[in-house]
Parts: sequence; structure tokens; C-alpha cells
Amino acid sequence: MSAKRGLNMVANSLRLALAASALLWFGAAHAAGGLQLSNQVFQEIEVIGADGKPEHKTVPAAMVVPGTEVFYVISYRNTGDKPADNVAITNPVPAELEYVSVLGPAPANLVSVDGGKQYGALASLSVAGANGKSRPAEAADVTHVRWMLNAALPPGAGGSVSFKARLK
Amino acid sequence: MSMNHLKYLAAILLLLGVQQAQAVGTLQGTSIGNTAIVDYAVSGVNQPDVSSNTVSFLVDRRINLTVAEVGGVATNVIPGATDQVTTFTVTNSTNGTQDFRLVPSNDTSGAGTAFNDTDDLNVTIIRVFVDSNGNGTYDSGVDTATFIDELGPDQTRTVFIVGNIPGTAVNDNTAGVTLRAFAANSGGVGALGADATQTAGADTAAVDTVFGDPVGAPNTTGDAARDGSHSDDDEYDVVSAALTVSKSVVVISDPFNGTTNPKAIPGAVIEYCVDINNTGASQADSIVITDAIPANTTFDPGSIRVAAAGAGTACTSGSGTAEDDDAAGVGDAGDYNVTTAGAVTVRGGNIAAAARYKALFRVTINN
Repeated sequence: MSAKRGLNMVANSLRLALAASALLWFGAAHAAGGLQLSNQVFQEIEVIGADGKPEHKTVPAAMVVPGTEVFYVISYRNTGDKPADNVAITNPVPAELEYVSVLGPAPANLVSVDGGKQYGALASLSVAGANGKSRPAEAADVTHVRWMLNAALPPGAGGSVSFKARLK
Repeated sequence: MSMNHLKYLAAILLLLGVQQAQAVGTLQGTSIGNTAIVDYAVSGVNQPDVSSNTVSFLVDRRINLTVAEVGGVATNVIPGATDQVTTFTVTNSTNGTQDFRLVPSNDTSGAGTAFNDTDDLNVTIIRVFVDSNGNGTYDSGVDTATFIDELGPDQTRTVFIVGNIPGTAVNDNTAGVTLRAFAANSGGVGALGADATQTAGADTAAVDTVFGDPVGAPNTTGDAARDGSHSDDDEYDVVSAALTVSKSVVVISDPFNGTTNPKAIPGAVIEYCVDINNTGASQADSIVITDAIPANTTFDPGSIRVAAAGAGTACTSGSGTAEDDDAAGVGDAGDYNVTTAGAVTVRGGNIAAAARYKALFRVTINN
């Protein structure tokens, strides 16, 4: 399928996932204040629709074999009574997964390819290649993903960030 | 920014071994957990980092396997031979350890075989054995296991199909065989587990199973893609000698015409040519030609000539090596009336595939 159609499908899945995560918040017990984070993992599966045609469905990740793509949705909310500044959400990529990309409209997105020491845009990073010479970093080199909100987060406000990865 | 916290996390992650076998991917049953952290400040004061919950999923089992013929050529066999071997490998490409149930079978008559022949023979008492000592050779009595036990991810075992060749098989017969392997659950060391089944319906919280195998060899009925089995073909080619005997006769002389247009009348000298043609693919060993001289004729002493030449089934008179009539002497290749009464006997040695052997002798028609 075309990249654009693929992106649209994932965007639709993301909306469903965000809706699902919003529901989660109402049930969650709130702490005294400060930021709250929740993490969920989904996958896209193909099912046969009522009309007999295959369609894509987003479900919590449960049938994952090597090569399967999953996407994580990290939802954040300011449950305190003061604005939160310099909010930076960091997700270390699990060792058995290979980072693919961030999903959806994201705040400033940075990655690390050196185990979390330095962060930058993927296109600006490089790693030592097999022969010891420096080469541009690729998605598979990413060890951590970080999102930085570009404005203070008012009390009660929240949002979600998401990234896709593939099981090695 | 809590760099120390992040460094600590990174160090832990690097220390944790990645549970994975390179080609097949992450092992089934591995739990993958993920946690995010947020760092922020309030009124310019850095706040303690907050972690998300850890969300996890279990890596499921993807069954995949490959059966492959070893050697790239047919196994040549002779009629009546027993315990003839064709060799295969079975590779486990599942992300987990499996047993494999092995099924050997004869191909259907008329089917195209592994090396582009047509199947027209079945081996009898077809058996399957796993190579127990990894030497790639079938060791009777040593390689006795009939299923593959506890094969790890990305590992390979050698398997033999063993069969007997019917005594009635002839040169050029082809017996196509197929080995089919079924992925089975690991049943504990020494025991074959039940055939693996794909998890139907909704995903479960436990390890589920997906079949990822490709379609098997063309001659295997029912070996579809994603059925938990795979197969490949091999073949036995029967190579044998196939001898055709031709006998021709020429009148050499008669008392009245001499050697000019002689006729077959009493007193005429007749020369017999015996031609043995090996049309088989295998050498014929130790051939012995026995030819009783016809009634009403007398053997011409000293007329036996062995290893004669000639075009087609004919012999060139006078060619070859003269033989005396007794059976004595070094390497004696022919006699008259010694080995067999009233007959010429020629010991022709071996005839190679696609070669001929000719012998000549003369008789005189009695008056």
C-alpha cells in the first residue's frame, strides 16, 4: 500500500488510541499534583469486515512475533495547580525493538543514538559504522526518543505522543 | 534535566542481555516492557522525574521451518539393493525450540521428480532416521531416532530416507521420494510433542502461535503455505546393465564355389558372430557366452576369436584374438566342449555401459 495511505491508516489508528487513552484518565486515581504519564502499546491487525473486505483495526498489542510493528502511545497530563515548564518526555527504546518513527503531530522530537547521552534530530546524528568510520545515523540506531513541549503546560492540560517500533 | 537518572537507566538497559537468536528474532515468551519518563520544572524549580506505568507484551511463537534435499543429485542404486539412502536437512526457523514429526513417502507414479525424471518406481520398506552423530552419513543401528527432538532456533539436523530397491527394477527406473516435516510442540527431551497448532480467534495473554512456513515441494499433496509443515523431494535412479545379444552368420566357403559367393551346403564353412551390447548405465561384470553349435555341424578347431571388432551387430571376420579350444592357459578366454559339452564358451570379462563385446567361431556343415 502507498506510504500516504499507510500514514492515513496509522493516523486513524492513533486517533482511536488517543480516544482510548483519554478514557483511561477518567478512571485513573490522581496524585496530589504534578505531571502524570501513561504508556500503552497497540498494533494494527487486518480483519475481514462485515462487507467481506479486509480492513485494519487497532488493538492492544497481544499477537506480536518478530517483524511485527507496534506503536506506543504516551499520554501526559498536568494534574497540578501550576503550569509545568520545560516538559521533556523520554522513552528508551526497548532492546528487542527497532525504532521506526514517531507518529502523528508531535512536539519537537529528538532522538539519541548513543544510549541517551546526546539528543538531536535523527538527520543530524551520526554513528560509527562497521569499519569504524562515521556514517549518518539510521532509525535502527535510535536508542531513546524524546519529545520537548515548546510551551508551558497549563494545569489540567495534557496530550499524547507516539512512536512506532518493530520487534527484532 | 535529570541526566544522571537517564544515564543510570541507559546503563541498565545496556547491561541487560538481548534475548534473541540472530536470524529468527526475539525468542517466544520474551516479555517486552516499556516505560517513559517525564522531566519538568515548576516556577523554575526542577521537579522529580515522573515515570509512566510499564506496559508489556509477550513475544508470540512464529513457526517456520525448511526441509532441503542435500547433494543436488539423485542417488544411484542397483536393483535389489537394500537400505539405500537419500539425504535431507531440516532447519528450525521458529523463534523457539521445536520437535519435528517426520513423514517419508514415495511420490505418485508419473509425477515429475526432484531432478526432472518421471517417477515409475516405489522403494519398499521406506523409513526415516535422524543423523545422531552429525556425520552426514546413515549409520545403521546408530541413527535410530525417527523424529527430531528439541531443535533450537536457527539449528539444523540431517535426516535420511532409507528404502529398498525392488529386484524387478530395471535400468533407468526412477523412484521419487519426499520428506515432509511437521512442527511439533517441544515434548520434553526424548518425547515427540503434539503437532503445533495455530492460535485461532482472539489473541490470548499467553504465548500464541502463528504459522509462517512457505509452501512445500511440488510433489507433496497438501503442503500449503502456513500449515506448520514443509517438504522437499529427492530421487533414486536405478542404474543397471542391460544386455542385448545378437547372433549373425556368414558363409565363408563351400567345396564348389570356394570363397566366391559360397552357399550353405554340406561341407560349407559357416562363421557365427555373437554380439553383446550393453545398453545400460552400469557395467556388466564377468560375462560368459555359451553357444551350443547347431546340429549337423562340426566345430572348426581353433576358430574361436574373442574381443572381435565390427560395425553394429556384425563382426569383422579375422578380427579379435584367436583362442585355442581348451580351457587352460593364462587368462584363457574361450574353449569348445570343455566348460560346456557341445558348446563354445567365451569368457568376455566386463562390458562397460554403452559398450559391445563380440566373439567369432566357425563350424562346418556335415556331409
